[in-house]
Amino acid sequence: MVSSYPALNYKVIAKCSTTRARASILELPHGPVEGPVFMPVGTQASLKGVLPEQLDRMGCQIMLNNTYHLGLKPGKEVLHSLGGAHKLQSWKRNLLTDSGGFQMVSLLKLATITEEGVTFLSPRDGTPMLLTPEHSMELQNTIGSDIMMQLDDVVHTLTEDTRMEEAMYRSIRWLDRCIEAHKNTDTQNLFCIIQGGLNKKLREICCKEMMKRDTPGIAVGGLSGGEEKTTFCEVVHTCTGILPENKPRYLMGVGYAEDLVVCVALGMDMFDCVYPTRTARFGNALTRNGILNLRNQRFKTDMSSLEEGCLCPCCVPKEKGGWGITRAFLNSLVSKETVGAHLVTIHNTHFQLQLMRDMRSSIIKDCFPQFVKTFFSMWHNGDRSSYPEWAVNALRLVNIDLLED
Amino acid sequence: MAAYPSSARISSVSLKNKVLQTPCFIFPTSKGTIPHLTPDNINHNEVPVVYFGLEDSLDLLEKSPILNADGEIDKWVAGTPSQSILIAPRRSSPLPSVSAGPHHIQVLTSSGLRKLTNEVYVKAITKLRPEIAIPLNDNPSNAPGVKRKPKMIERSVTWTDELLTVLQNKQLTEKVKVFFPIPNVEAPFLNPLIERFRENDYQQNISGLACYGNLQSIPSELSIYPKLFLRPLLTPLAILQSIHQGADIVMADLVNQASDAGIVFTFSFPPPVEDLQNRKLELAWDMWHNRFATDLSSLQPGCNCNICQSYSRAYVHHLLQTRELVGWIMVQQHNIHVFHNFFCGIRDSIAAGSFLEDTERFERIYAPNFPRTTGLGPRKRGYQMDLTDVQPIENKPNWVQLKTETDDDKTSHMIQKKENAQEFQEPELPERDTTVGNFADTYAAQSENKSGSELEEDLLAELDEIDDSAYRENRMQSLKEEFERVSAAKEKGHMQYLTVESEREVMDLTTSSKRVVIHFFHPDFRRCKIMDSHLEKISKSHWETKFIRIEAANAPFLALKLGLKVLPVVLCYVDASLVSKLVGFADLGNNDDFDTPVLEFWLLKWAAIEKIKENIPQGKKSIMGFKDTKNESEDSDLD
Repeated sequence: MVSSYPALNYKVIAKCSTTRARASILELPHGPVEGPVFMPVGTQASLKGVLPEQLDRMGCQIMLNNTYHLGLKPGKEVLHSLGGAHKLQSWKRNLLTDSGGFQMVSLLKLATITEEGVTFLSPRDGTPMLLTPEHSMELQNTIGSDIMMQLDDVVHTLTEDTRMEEAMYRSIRWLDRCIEAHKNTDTQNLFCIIQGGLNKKLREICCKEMMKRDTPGIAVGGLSGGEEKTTFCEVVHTCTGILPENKPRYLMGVGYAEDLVVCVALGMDMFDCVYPTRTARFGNALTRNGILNLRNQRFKTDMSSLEEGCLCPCCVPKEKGGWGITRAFLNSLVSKETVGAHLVTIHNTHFQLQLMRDMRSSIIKDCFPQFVKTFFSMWHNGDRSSYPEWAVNALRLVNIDLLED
Repeated sequence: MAAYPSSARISSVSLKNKVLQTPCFIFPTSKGTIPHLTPDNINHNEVPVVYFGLEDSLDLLEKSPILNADGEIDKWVAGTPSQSILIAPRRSSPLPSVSAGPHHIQVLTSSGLRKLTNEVYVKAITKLRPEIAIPLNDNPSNAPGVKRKPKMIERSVTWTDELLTVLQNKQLTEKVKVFFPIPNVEAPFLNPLIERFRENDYQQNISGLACYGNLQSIPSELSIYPKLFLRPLLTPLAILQSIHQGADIVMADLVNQASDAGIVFTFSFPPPVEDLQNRKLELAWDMWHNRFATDLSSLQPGCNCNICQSYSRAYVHHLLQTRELVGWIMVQQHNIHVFHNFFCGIRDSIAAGSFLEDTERFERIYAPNFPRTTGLGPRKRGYQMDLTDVQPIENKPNWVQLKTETDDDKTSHMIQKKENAQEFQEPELPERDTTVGNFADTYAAQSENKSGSELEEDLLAELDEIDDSAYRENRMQSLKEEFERVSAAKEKGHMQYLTVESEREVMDLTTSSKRVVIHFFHPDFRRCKIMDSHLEKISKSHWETKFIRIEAANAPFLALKLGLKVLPVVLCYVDASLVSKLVGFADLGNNDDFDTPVLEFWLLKWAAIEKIKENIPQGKKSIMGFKDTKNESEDSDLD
């Protein structure tokens, strides 16, 4: 269960004996990444409110930047003269960039997709612009990300089958063009993206076609768009059943805690999502016992930390070298002071990274199923009746029964 | 060259776990945070003491969480463990307050004005136990009258005595050091204090002076005390001058202001060797400037701050340009470091006996002021907002630049007009001093429990700035509807120029009509009458806008919040947001006999009206029949 490419060595170091979960290591140009891994999203070359060095201190080994945004500001010329996005943000660890296509479709409703690429009106001056697989590669080559994503034809998961099929085949053709256009195979990895919506047949075809192209890693895309969770998990399960064991598997846009635990069990390695950091700015703190809405009146005089035993600097008491930040203090800060947002962002990012580290060590010790059960029990405060059905069903696919002792 | 009477000195103030070498600075916090910095981004050595304005956290006065939850003040400060905390009643450089009484002062909390009594304040100090406390004091923002001045002294003394008594009873005098508040009054008024300071309890329990006024008025008998100078100091030179005048500790507000503006300090003290080309050195750089876009060097050459060690100008420039919060974290960290070194330099210079000379050289070789910023600050929240210096919250749509065809001629015509208005507005935006602000935000920030979905919407709106098509569709739809409401507008009292009695009504009206123009007037002021005559005319032909007037005396809260000092003032609200403020006749040529269309153009510029109407009389107008060239600031003062 090893694979080797000029810019990526991948190794599965432990497999769960019950589920499909794997602990792995990705050797990338900017250091190792331990899987399963959550990648915080620094849309415009920064995680909002957190310095790159703070993120590094939290043990983050790979961060995501958005190609679309970097293409707008600072722009390709500036990135080129700076020598890429690592240089720009003084980030010593790895970077992953998306293709820019997703943002175009989600942010620009006027975008239209043709065989050539994505046509859209420039947000600068309204002139029609075209993003082709070649453009996307060129921009990502300039950014210099350690992992680049192919341009894919993104359609909503609930789109009818013929358009979905068209999108799936087009994504395969675009992958070929991306491979052709990719200039820095020695220092940058291109990942393909499996499309096909909720149609398992299409997903199967797509997996097989993409595997033929032998990219260093494989992403599953086109999910997390509000589809029914049971179907979503079935699609993930279908894909991980087909995809090769010896390559990293990246599930795009997924980052809720429950989703992470279930999808790791289903055999995915990499995740990204803006949710933990965005929700932090709204004053929502993630804890193992669920989500705290810090704006709530009941926290006004609550002098406890966000989560007892949490090792993030916010939660560690001052006597033990932390910052001793209380819920009451945050209640007085959220939506008033930027520092309030920064503090919760640090806590939530730590929560995500720690959740992944805990899953990893339980896989290595081969006690992952127990971890999953404990996680759900804590998340729902011991109330089994509130376990979501989709999670129970999905975990049954990999031999865990949450409702059994 | 200014001559400095030099009272500059080196001394020290002993605190719990440190000795402060003075001259030094205290860093102002906002709700217990050094703006933008989490504790790991604060260097304890550079910021040994922070200032906590208690008014920030007194929304519910004695019922406020800070006074009812367990723990002392350090639980409410995002700082380093060894940092000392000073509590004062009000923020550093507070917004103007209105009144005070024998037992209270008025403070501005994050949910509005409150009467803070000394009883509550003393309770707060004994509960929160800061290392340094400034007792409650009466320091009106505007120059006090002759009768008020002795009262200010009296109140400082009474309120300090009350605090000392309680501290003594609770045996807290060791823990909490008290800095006696010297009000902003002239020397003769302060002489009675000398006696008081000879008495035993002051000898034992007063550790310093908190100087709200001129340092030179302070009796020399009191010069043995460390002097904390609380007046705003806006330039490094002003700081040097205050130290020459005897300040031992000053407030670091200028660091926050510069950092918010994206201004990066480059000055040092003693100043570098003189530039022979006779060119003034810059005190700071505006990191918004495009010349930094590809500049990989550190913010300031040779600086060993954490930021300069790791990050480039290009990155900071990029972060500011994209309004990423990290940009301000970096600028703030660097500026604090430079500011700290500035004070180290001052102390060395005083010790070496060259302070006077170094100050003169500093004045000679550095530019007198910071560069004007070309960018926008971070988004401010209502309670910390000084409406004379804020930007509108900008989710500026790009849709106006897209050429669109539409069947509905009227709609497209209206869009065209809106475009014109935008074109007028564009060049004004970088001007920091245009007095625009988003009033809705002020209120939003004050409603404690804004729902989650609202906040999400705010943020998503920010994220979707580039979503031009959806925005355009929305706008077109709403403009269409607006047109259909022409007749409905009349029923809402448009086309009349009504006088409103209460500020509550004003606030309601700003949200009930799309465009509202409000004239704050004084019944006796001639210029207000001139304004009335023009607005009356305009209101008749502009059905799309609601025109109202309110006597400023009936709107004390708004007058305070908006910093209204000169009348007349005309405010324009569009979509419940304050888009512009006209103070006096400043924007109308500063001339009493302007033509009505001048005012009309001004309103159009801010989109407070739809378009110029033809049917307004153009003739000259002067109610009194003569021209007045007096500066409008002499016209009146609210107080």
